[in-house]
Amino acid sequence: MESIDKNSKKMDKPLKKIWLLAAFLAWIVPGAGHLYINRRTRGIIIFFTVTITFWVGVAAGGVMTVDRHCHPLWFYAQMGAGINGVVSWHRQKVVYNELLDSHDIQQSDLLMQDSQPSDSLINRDKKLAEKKIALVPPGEDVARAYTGIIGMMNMLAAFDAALLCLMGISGEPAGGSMKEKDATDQDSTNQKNRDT
Amino acid sequence: MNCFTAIIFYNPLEIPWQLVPWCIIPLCISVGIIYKTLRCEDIARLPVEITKFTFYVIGGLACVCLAAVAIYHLFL
Repeated sequence: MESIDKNSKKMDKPLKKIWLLAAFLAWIVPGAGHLYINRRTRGIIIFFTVTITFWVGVAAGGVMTVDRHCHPLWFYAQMGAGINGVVSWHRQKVVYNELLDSHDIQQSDLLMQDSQPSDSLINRDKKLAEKKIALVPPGEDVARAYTGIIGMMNMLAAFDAALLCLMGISGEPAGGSMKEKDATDQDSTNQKNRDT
Repeated sequence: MNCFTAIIFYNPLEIPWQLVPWCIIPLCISVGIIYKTLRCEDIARLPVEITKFTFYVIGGLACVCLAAVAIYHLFL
């Protein structure tokens, strides 16, 4: 009996959570922030949704989907997917370095001039197309939309985890949905009005 | 198996142009899942909320698309 009492006391005691850690965990491993604040089911759902959608995007676009030099804004959005984005970027860099070592492309080919694609960048794309790894329309748009948008959604999840942590909320919300709560509140006020 | 996975994540898939508009549906579902997982208070109502949200988004996009086509044909 005493051990049960001790356990219940432990459960009642709120755990101090660090919001920065929640945000970092939620970014690096999608859903981990929600696991950290004891929202296990939500964390698992977020993890599988972000991971599957991101890698479907990479499958559509190939190894060059996450490209820092050609599309920096999409790149920042893709990095929102945490470990998925980092692994994908690493793979792209490995392939790029192999191409640089074999002198298929030059380092100067990566440069943009006045945010417009330079001739060397177009040449680079031609060389990647010869290797059959260049992103080509319409798969390019599909790949970037999938990886970028899901990266931004993961950032939203990280923001949510951090915010809940700051508010001191841990675990699933007690009771039913907000509509149900509103309905029960409305019923109780109606009952009180009738009584008076 | 390793060779197959290496190819599908290395070389881009050849997606036909006709298939591109349909690719928006899985993305809308994914966005709906994440958004409603964060917003929905009652986890038991999650499938219903996700379905409703996905239909709203796809319906909204279809309306915008129809409006754009109508403007193009009537005024341009």
